[in-house]
Amino acid sequence: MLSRVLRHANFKLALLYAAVFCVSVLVLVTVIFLSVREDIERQARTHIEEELAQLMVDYREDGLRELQHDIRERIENGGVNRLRYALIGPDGTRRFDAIDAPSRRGWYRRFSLSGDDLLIDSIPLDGGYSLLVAADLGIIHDMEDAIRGQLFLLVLFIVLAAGLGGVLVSQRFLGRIDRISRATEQVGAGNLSARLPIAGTGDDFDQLSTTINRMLERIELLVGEIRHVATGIAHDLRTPLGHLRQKLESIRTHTNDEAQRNRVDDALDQLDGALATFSALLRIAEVESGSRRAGFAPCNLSAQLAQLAELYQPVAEEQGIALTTHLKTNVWIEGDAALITQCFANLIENALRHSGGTLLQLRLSTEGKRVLAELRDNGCGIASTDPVVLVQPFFRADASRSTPGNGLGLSLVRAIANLHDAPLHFVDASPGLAVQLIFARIPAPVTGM
Amino acid sequence: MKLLLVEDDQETADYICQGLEEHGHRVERAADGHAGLMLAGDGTAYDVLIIDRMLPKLDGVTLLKTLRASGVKTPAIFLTAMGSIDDRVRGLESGGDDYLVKPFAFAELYARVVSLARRPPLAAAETVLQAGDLTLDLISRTATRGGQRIELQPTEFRLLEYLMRRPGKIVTRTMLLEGVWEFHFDPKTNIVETQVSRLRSKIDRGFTKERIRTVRGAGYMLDAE
Repeated sequence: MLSRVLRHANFKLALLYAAVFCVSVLVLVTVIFLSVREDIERQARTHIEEELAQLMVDYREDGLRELQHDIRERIENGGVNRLRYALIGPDGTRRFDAIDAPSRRGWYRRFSLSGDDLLIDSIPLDGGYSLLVAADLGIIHDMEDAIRGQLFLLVLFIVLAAGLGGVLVSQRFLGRIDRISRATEQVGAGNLSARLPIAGTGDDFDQLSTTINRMLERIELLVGEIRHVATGIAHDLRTPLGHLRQKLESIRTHTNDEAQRNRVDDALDQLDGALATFSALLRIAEVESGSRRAGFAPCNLSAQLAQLAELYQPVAEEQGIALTTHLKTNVWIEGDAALITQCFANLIENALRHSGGTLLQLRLSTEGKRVLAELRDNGCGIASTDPVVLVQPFFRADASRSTPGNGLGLSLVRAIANLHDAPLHFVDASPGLAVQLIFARIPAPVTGM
Repeated sequence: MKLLLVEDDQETADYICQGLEEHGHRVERAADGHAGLMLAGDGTAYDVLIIDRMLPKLDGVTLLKTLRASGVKTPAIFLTAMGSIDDRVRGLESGGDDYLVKPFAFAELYARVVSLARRPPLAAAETVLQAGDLTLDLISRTATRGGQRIELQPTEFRLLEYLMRRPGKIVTRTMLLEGVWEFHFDPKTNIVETQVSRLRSKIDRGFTKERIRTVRGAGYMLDAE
């Protein structure tokens, strides 16, 4: 389940959303940080300007002594976040706070080795003195550090939340997709009355399911009509043909004329031939409808093929063909035993009647879960190994037109192969032809008790 | 034998009745499912029931299900114009003992009806089948004739078993195909003829009396005498 979730489109989409969201958050945080930093700087600048302006008013009115007094007062009364002050004498001596900066005029910024980030304004006073007022911008760095730390946790949280959300959403989606594919598989298996589940939320899935259900209803109706028509044909055609057959038989029973009896026998043979073609067509239609899948059961393919080979060996021998087997034992598949028998019987009879060879080998081998059943002859082969042509109803290879048959044998073989989801291959065996059927192996059922 | 035919098609019913009566059997007829149910409900009146699959009022499968549910064990053969596998499976599941697709040769129906009549109950499982000097041991899977062991292939053994379970009765080619090899279709090669002639050559070799007889135009019969 988890690997399916990881491959699922919704999960990938959730991760993509998470990535886009992370980038957005990063951009947003950066913008906020930059504007906050600018604001802090501007505030500090204003603060310094106001302070300087006030100090300068006192200095102009009362001179240097008063200025020093003011500064001392401010340093004593100010808190931790107070501004810093320095008075630089003409000889370079500094008083008050130790601001490690040259005494040049105007605004500048100073980064000290100890990590301080100071914004400084300096004004020259009379007599070679100059006054420095500075604000500590360390708060900006603190903020930067804090954001960097939080941002990492934030991104981690977004990715985890998106991943978890993706898994949950995907599971919900996959659950619904599973229910839909189960329903469609049932339909494929011939249960045409199966319908896709509707959750009742009216979402896209429901809309799709409703549309498909309408389609299925139509298919069920049409197939039902076809079945009805086929049954009708079967009944309405078999009944008059039955009457015909009864009349012919009645004539045959009650005549003493040998010649007439032979003519009636010919007519009966022809009628039975037509009926056989008719039955074969109905059988193909029945197999193709998939309704037989409901009757699938484990089949011992090894035993079935062995029995068929034993049954056909005398007939083959009479025709000068050696029918040999190379069958792996105890190979089981899921299927309809009667149809599988008919499928291989058709193939063997086809080979006996049309191959023109002297050898016929029936093989059964397995490779993991694959079961390969093969019938190989050493005859003249066929001009085309195109299965599409070969299995067309009423197709007769040129060489076989003179032999009796209705050309429906391989159509039925294909229909039975399709019913069992078994790929059918015609392989040029030079000389001859190999017909291969590939089934899915199932474990042998537990027997006994 | 006394038989019940439930068939709505007048012409077919006439044909079957005529044939059976010519062979000296008594046939009673019902033209719909209800009438058939009334007649067969007793359970002891008939040897075999011949029931058409599609009947007015009550279809053949429901008719037989009802009979079986009320304890009627009379052997029954279905006649059907449909002939699909589904149809056959449903017919046999409803309690039918045999199933014949229309149209059919009368000989085919007759052989099947005779084969069904007075069939030994399945409960008394025999382990040794005997027909004159021919013995088939179902446990040791061996066949002997006049004390001589006969080597048979598995498929030949099954064929002989089928014949020996119906001694003195005609067994048709289709009955063998269905009963011995589970072939529910008509093969294009003469496998039955070839298999029977093989079997015959094995069990009749060195004996003057032929055990497996060919009944012309009908099928084969194992001589029980």
